[in-house]
Amino acid sequence: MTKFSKMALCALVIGGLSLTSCSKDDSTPAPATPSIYERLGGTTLVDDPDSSDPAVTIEAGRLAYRKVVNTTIGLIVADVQSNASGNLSAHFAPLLAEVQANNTTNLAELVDNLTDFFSYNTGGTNAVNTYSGLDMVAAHNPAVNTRMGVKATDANYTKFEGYVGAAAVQNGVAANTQLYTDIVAVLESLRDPIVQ
Amino acid sequence: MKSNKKIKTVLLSFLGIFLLLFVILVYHIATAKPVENATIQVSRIDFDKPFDSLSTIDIKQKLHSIAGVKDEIIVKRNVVVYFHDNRIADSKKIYNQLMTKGNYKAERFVLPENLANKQVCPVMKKDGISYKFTKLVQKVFN
Repeated sequence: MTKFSKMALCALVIGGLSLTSCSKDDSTPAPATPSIYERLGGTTLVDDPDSSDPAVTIEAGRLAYRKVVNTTIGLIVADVQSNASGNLSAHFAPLLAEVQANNTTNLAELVDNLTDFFSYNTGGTNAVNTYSGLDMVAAHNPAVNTRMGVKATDANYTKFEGYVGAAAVQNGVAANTQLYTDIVAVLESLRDPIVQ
Repeated sequence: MKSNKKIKTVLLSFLGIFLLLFVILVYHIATAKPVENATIQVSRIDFDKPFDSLSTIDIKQKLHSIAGVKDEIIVKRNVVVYFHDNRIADSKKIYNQLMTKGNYKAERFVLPENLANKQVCPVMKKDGISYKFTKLVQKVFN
């Protein structure tokens, strides 16, 4: 090898190394999308509008979920009709009968459990959102959970998703946003364990 | 003498286990997260005609003005569903107050008997082995 070609090879190696070191490997990754819980208000404490005690506060993300859960239940109740097909009265009538008789314990537990479940699993991991209910398979198996009146069908679940979607829109989550799409994706991921 | 010592040891062991379980129970009760808003009730009023956007705002305002009624009010077609604190006002009281605020034709929704008394029917056959076994296991652990 001639002196010239040795120098050329050296220049090529050094040039290659310097170009490699200038590559964008060390650039900072794109910031991660905040969790759904954060986008719904996160852990910022706000007044709880449903508490009679003005000193009681609630995380904004949890409040957003609770509002959606309440509106969902309200929409289901609005559709409950005797002998009407397609509504979810078969699943919710026993609960409504209790409420009508002034026994609100199970309604409160349902709202609380649903709020905990969605909050905790979408980024609200503070202790206030700890979900202590049954797992989704057991919770929707009438043999394990007698509160589950009848088995949920695919059509039932699609209807339920529709109620949640409408409730989210009524509470300020527009249907053409990424947040709405992400909430629907979470619901869709639960279809398999719920529809048994 | 030896057997007396054994009995004493067994009794003390039982007492120790009982005390330990009692402490765990107390801890669980003490640290259990209370259910939020346990006295919030959901109620419904059916009107004779559907609401348009203006009458929706109006009925929501009127309901809000009644003590005990919460933020979430759902108006769908001719139906209004609302949440309220039943320590402050029950559904009958709220219905009566709302009716004095306008010339409405409406009925407080009472769940039809055939729905209210609906049997919660399990998917498994009640006389099936798997159902009986599930119940037996649940009885032991619950």
